Amino acid sequence: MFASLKKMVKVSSRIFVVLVLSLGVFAQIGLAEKITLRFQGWRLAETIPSRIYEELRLDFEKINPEITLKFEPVPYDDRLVKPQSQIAGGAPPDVLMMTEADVIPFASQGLLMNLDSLYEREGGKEFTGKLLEPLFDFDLYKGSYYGVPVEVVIIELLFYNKRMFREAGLPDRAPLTWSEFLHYTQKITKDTDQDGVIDKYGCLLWGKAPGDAAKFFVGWALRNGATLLDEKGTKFLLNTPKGLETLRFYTELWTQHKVTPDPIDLDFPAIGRLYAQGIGAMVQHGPWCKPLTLEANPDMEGQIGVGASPLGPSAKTNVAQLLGMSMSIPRGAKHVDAAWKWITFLLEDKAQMEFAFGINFFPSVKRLLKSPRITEAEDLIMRAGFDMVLNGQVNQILLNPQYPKIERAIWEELQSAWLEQKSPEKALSDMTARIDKLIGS
Amino acid sequence: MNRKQRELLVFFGPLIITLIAVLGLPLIIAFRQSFLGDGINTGFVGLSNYKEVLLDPILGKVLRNTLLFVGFSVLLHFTIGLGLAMLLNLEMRGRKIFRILLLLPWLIPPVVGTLGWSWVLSKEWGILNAIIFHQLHLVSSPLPWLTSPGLAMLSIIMVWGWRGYGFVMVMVLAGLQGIPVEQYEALAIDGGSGIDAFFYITLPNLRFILMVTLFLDMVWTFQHFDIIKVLTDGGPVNSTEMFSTLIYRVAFRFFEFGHATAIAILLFLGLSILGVIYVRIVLRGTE
Amino acid sequence: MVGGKKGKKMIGFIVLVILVLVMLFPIVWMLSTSLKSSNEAYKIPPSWVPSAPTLKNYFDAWNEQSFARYFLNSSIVTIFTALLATGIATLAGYGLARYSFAHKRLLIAAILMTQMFPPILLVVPYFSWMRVVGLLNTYFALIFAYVSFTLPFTTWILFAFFKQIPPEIDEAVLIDGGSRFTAFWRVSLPAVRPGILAVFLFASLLGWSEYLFALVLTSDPEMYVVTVGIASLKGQYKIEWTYIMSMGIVAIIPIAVVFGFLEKYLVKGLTAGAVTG
Repeated sequence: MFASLKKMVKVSSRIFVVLVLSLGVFAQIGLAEKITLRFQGWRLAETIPSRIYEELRLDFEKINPEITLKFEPVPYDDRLVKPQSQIAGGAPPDVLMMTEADVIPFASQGLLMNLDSLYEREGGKEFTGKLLEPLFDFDLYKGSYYGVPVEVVIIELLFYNKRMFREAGLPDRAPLTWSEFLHYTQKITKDTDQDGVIDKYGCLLWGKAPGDAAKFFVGWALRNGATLLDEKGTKFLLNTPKGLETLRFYTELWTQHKVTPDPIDLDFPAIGRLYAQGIGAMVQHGPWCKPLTLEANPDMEGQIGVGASPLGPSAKTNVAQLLGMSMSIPRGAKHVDAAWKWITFLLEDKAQMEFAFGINFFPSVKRLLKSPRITEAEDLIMRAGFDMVLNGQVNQILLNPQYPKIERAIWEELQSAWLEQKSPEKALSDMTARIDKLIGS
Repeated sequence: MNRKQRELLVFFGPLIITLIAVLGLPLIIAFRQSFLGDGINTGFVGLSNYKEVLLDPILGKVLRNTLLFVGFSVLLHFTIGLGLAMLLNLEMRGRKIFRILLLLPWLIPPVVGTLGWSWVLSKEWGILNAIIFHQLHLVSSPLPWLTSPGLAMLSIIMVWGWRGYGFVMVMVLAGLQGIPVEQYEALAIDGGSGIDAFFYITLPNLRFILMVTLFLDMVWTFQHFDIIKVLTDGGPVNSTEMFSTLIYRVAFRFFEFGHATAIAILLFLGLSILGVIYVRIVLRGTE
Repeated sequence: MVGGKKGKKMIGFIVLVILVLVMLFPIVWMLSTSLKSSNEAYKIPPSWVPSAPTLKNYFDAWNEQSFARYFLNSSIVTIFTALLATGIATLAGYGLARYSFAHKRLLIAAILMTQMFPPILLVVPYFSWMRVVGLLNTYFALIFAYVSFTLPFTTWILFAFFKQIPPEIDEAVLIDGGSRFTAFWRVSLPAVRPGILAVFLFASLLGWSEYLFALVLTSDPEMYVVTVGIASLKGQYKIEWTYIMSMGIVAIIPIAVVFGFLEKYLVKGLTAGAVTG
C-alpha cells in the first residue's frame, strides 16, 4: 500500500537527511591541495563564447597546473542577482564578468575588491598604458580600480540590408546624416501587399528593454553633438536644443513617420529577427549583428551592409560610445592571486584575438587594436569599427552609481514620448528633472 | 509531559522544527534589513526606508496595478479552474487525458512558458496577431498586446490566468472526491436539478477548500513577478508595475535591499490584515 | 434524466475539446517551434507546421548543454521536497484539524505569515545561513528551502481536507481504545488521499519549477537544475529559442508523468464509503 511505503521513505529520508546534515557540517574540514578558481559570467552560457573560454581554460591550466579553473555560467538577465547574493552571503566567485555599467554600482556598494595593489604589482602606469585609456573610466570608483577592461565594443554601427536598399533605388552605403536617414527610411517603408499594414520598414528602433533603449537613444544624442553631463557629473544636460532635437527626431520616427515598427515592441530577439527576415532595413547594433543575422537567415549572405550610425545636424565629431566588458574580483574572494593570473591571461594576445574574431568584440590592448590583423581585416565591421573605438568616448552617465535608476528614467520618458502621453519637450524636461534629482549633489 | 502534549509534539514537531531551523534566521535577518540603510550609510536608519516608500509617488500606481492584477487573474483562475474541475469530474471517455492536457499550462517551467508567450504576443511577428489579423481579419491592425498600457495589463492577466488555473482545478477536483455521493442522490430523489446540486451540495461542501484555495492563490499572485518581468518589465511606463516587480527591481537592480525590504514588509502587513480577516471567517464555527 | 445526462456529457466533451485547443495553443506553438530548424523558427510570419520537422534541437540541447545532469538534479530535489513536505504537512494538518489548544490561532497565523514574505528577499539571508552550515551547492540547501516554502500552504490545504472528514470516524477508533495516532494512520489518512496527492503534486511542482534559489545557491554547474539551465539559453544578444522550446517541452514530461500516474488517486475511491461506513 503506497501509504506505508511513503511513510517508510519519509522516515528514512529524514534520518538520512539528519545524518548527512551532520556530515555536511564537518565537510568544511578538508584541505584542498589545488586551488579551485571560480569564474562566473553570462558568456559562459553562450555557445560560441563558451567554446572560446573552454579553449582558453585548457591553456591556462597547462600554464598554471596548481589552479583548477571552474566556470560558472549565469543567465544574462540575472547575471547580477547571483553574484550580488553570493557576495553579500559570503561565498563569492573569484573572478566576475561585468559589463561596462556594472562595475561602478557594485563598487559603490562595497561588493568588489580594490585592485590598486594588484595594478601596482603589474606595473602601475606601464600596465594601464597597454590598454585603451578611456576604458578605465568604467573601472574607477573614487580613484581606485575595481575592474580590468578586457574587451571593448561600440554600438554606433548601422547595419543595413543591401537588397532592400537596391530595391528602393538607394545607393549601397549607410546614410550619413539624419535627413538622409529619414529619406532612406521613407523610401523603404511600404505596405507591399496592400493589406493596410506596413510590412517593410526603413529602420528598427530599440524601445522595449530599458538597458538597450537608453543606450541607443543616448548614442543618438551624442552623435548630435549633445553633452550628457556637466564636468562635475551632477547635472543632466540633455535639455538643450540639441537634446530636444534628438528626442524629437527619434520619437517622430515612430509617432509621425511610422518608418519603424512600434519601438516598445522591439527587443533584441525581435530586432534580430526582423532584420534577418528583411522586414526592417536598417538597425543600429553591435558587431555581433552580422553572425547572428547569418545564423538566423543564411540568405542574408552578402546582403549585410555596415556603416556608422548617422550624424545629427548639430554634430561636430564622429563620436561613438565605448562599451565593453571588465573582469572584477569580488570582495571576499578566496584566491586573489590566482584570480589576477586569470584576468591578466585574458589580456594576452591569444585570448584577445580569439574574442575579436570569435565574437566581434575589440581587444582592449592598444597594440592589438592597432595591429594589421584588425585594421586590415577583411571583415568590414572590424575595419569600420576599430577607428571609432580608437577615438571613442566613454559615456559619462554610465559611470554614475545611480545609473540603473537613470537608465530606467530615460526609458520611461522615452516610452511616454512614443506613446504620445507626453510631448517630446515635456518628456525631456521630466527626464532631466528626475535625473537631476538622482545625481545632484 | 502529558499525553496530549506528547501527541501535539508528534504532529506539530516536524513542522515547527523545520520552519524555525530553515527560515528562522533568514527571516530575522531579512526583517532587520528594512531598518538598515542602503548604499553608503549601512547603519541603522530607523524608519527612513519606510518613509521613503510611503512618500514615493509611484506607490499609488503600483497599488492600483497590483489590485487589478490580483483581482482579475484570481477571478480567471477560479472561473476556469472551478468550471473545468466540474467538467472533468463527469464520467466520460478520455477524462484522464483531458485532465493532464488541461494541467499543462501550470506544469510548464515558468521561464519557458513566459518566453513562449512573449513571442506569441509580439505585435509584429507574434502568432496571435498573425491569426487574428493576418489570417482571420478580426481586427483592422495588429494589436499592441505588450506595448499599450491597457492591453499590457490585460495580457499579463491573461497569461497568469492561463498559467494558474491548474492549482484551483486540482484543489477542486480533489475536494469533489470527498463529497458523499449520497447527498447528490438524496437531492435527485427530492427532484432537485443540476443547478440546485451545485449550489446546495457542491459549493457548501467545498466551502473550506475553496476558501483555502482562494487565500493561497491571492497570496501567490501578490508575490508573482516572473511573468511580468519577462513580458513587460513593469512597462510600458510602469503601467504593469506591481509590488512584486518593484521589490525585485529595487533590490536587485538598484541594490537597495533596505528599501526593498521595507516595501515587502508593508506588503506583508497588508496581506497579514487580509489573513487575519480570512482566518476569522474560516475558523468561525470551530472551537 | 438518463437521456439528459448523455446529452450533457456530449456537450461537456465538446466544450473540453475546445478548451484544450485554446489552452494548449501556446504549448502547441512551442512544440512546433522546437521541431523546426532555426531558420524556419525565425521566419515571419510564423508558420504552424514545421516544413521539415526535426529532432535535432532536442539532441543538440541535450548534448551541448548538460541537460541530462540538470534533469537528474531537478528530479532528486523535487522528489525529496515532495516527500518531506507531504509527510510533515500531513501530520501538522491533522493536528490542526483535530486538536484545540492554547495559541492555536497564533500558530496558524504564524504558519500563514511565512507565506506572505516575498521569497526573493530571503535569498541573501538564506544563502548566508547555508554558507554557515556548510550546505552551499548541495541538494539539501534547495530541498530544505523548498520544503519550508511549501509547508505553510500544504499544511493549510491538508487542514482543509482533514476538516472535511467528520470527527466521528476518529472518535470511533478512540472509543474502541485505539490511540490518536492509530486513528490518524488507519482512518483519517486514507480518507484524505486525494488531498495528500494534491499536496504531493503541488510540492513537486514547486520543487521542479523554482528558479531563484536554485540560481543563487548552486555555483557548480554540476548542481544546476533545469530551470537555471533553460534560463541560461537566453544570452546577452542571442536567445536559443529552439533549444529553450525543446528543453521546455522535455521539462514538462517528468512532471506530467508524475501527475498522470498519481492522477487516478484523485478519483472518487474508497473515500465515499468511509463517511457512512
